[in-house]
Amino acid sequence: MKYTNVAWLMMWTLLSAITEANEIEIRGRAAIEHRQFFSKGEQGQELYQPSVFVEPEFYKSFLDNQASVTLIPFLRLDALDNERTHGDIREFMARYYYETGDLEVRFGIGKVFWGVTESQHLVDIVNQTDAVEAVDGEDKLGQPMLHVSWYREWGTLDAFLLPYFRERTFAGEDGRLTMPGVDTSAARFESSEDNRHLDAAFRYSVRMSSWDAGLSYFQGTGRDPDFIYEGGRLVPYYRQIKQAGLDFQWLYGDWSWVAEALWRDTGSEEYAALTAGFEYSYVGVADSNMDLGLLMEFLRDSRGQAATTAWQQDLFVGARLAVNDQEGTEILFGVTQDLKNSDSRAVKIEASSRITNAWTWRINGWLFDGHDPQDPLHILHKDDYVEVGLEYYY
Amino acid sequence: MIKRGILLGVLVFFTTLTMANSERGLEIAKERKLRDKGWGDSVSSVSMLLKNALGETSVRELRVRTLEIEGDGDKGLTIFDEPRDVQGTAFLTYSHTNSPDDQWLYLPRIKRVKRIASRNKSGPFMSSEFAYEDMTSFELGKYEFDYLKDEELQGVETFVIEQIPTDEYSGYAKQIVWLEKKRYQPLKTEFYDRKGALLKTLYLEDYQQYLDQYWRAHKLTMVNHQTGKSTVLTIQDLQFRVGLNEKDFNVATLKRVR
Repeated sequence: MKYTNVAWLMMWTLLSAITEANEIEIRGRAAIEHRQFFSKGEQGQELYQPSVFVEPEFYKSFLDNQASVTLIPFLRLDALDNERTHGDIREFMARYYYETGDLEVRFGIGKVFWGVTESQHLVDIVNQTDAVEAVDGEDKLGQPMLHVSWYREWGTLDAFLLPYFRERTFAGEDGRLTMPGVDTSAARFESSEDNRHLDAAFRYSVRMSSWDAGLSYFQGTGRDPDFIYEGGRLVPYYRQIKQAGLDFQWLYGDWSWVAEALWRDTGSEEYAALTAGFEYSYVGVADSNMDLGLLMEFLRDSRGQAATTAWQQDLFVGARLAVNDQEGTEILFGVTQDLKNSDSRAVKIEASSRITNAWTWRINGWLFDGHDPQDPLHILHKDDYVEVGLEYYY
Repeated sequence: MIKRGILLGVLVFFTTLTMANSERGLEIAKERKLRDKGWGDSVSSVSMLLKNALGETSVRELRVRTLEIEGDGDKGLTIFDEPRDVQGTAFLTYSHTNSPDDQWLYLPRIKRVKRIASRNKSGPFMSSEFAYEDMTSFELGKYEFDYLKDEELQGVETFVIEQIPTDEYSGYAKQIVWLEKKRYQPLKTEFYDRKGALLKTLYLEDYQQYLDQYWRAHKLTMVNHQTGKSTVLTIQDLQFRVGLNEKDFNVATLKRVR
């Protein structure tokens, strides 16, 4: 049975079980979005990409909130791209907190985030990226897991068993922001157990008076695929990897210093990568109520130009403006510039604000410059776009 | 010689006067803190009414949990219920008596815990006229105190105390507090910005007593004189000693807060 079928079955079982129960919290969001591209795609794809999504959340707590069950299904319908029309169980998690032992056990499908930097998220590895959702890689697919947390004075220990691997999503032929020729139906795995290899992850995190730090380790199916060129198609190939990660944040006055570093062994190579920088905040800029944050991060990958990522030796510079009005308006602008190749850069702008208690608007824009065909950004060089979204919360 | 003697005498007189005033100020602050000792923990629902200079309003709904910490500042957890786009967001604060407070924000949609930079504490809390630093507990180490005078405020006898924040990142040069003599509770506080100009006034009303000892205001109105905006905090369903402990205020467990 396919993974999604199992997930839907589980969901309907739960839904029918809880229809009789009361006090289920239901909330969620839904949105209408429109992406407008500035030029037709490399394969002549359309300029417009309208879509809608819904993401309800069902929550029920038991035993005086010592235990709970959360269910968050997600569905997007995209007018242009069949691959982007997709559903996912973002979360379907049972949680039990054993207070006397300071232990928490979570079982099911869930999402975990590790990291502190703005420009990219290096060490965050538990969840696969839902890459059809957005180019920033911040949308994730629900990951089946057994997650145990142990909370102590000296920090928190997290252990994960990840029994099922989620393949990365890719935009389709008709869609935009696509990687032409990717055949997601034929993904290959280094492990003979294919996508059923049992992956494991550990994290130790500690929060002190002015700094937070996390040390993590992951062993299993790498979330980033390599590609095998075969019969005119690009077949995703998922290796078995080992990864150690470090994330660190230190607050000092107006400064927030952040760093994420990883070491990864993919079997065919070992490499290291680093993102490090700061956010400097001006509170009440120009005698107003607004806060302005200036960000700078340095991105480095030891593989240099051979890296599979576009961020091998780059500088991210950005500004974050919190207007602090009743509408909660926020604007983020950032440029990631390649330091070796002056023609390679990505520019993003994000703005959002509240319309009423239940409605918000959002604008995201991306510009990609990558003239050199060897540049990983090159495949996006015709995909500059602006996305406008209207979101409803219930 | 005589002149110098007089000058010295005047100087000594004023020095002792100032010392006496700061000693008196600290004494009163200590008494205020002492009278509020031992409340344990509390939960409440809070409505925040934001009003701009044009009179347009919007509402925020919060739930607040607080825990008294022996030998340090209190811990507080605020959970946002409305507006709905920030529903489930949790704000955790550890007040400290002798060092800057620690504050974290949990954003449920992206499952991220963000630390709030110490500088940002002078920024607005949820776009209201309350700053983050106004949302933390009253601690002796946070100010230098100065007793100014006695004054009758709307028929109530008060001490007027000047409080100068010790934290260099505070948004205020000073605060003037009108403290009710009978109950040692503030009725009004004026906040002066870093240039020394009057920025805001907080009015505390509708005091009710809990556990036969602890007084809590149930209506707090903050008026910003420079922008004309105001925020009214209304506290409902305040309950004490509901059995919260430090584990309910753990940063690592913010994710399960509902």
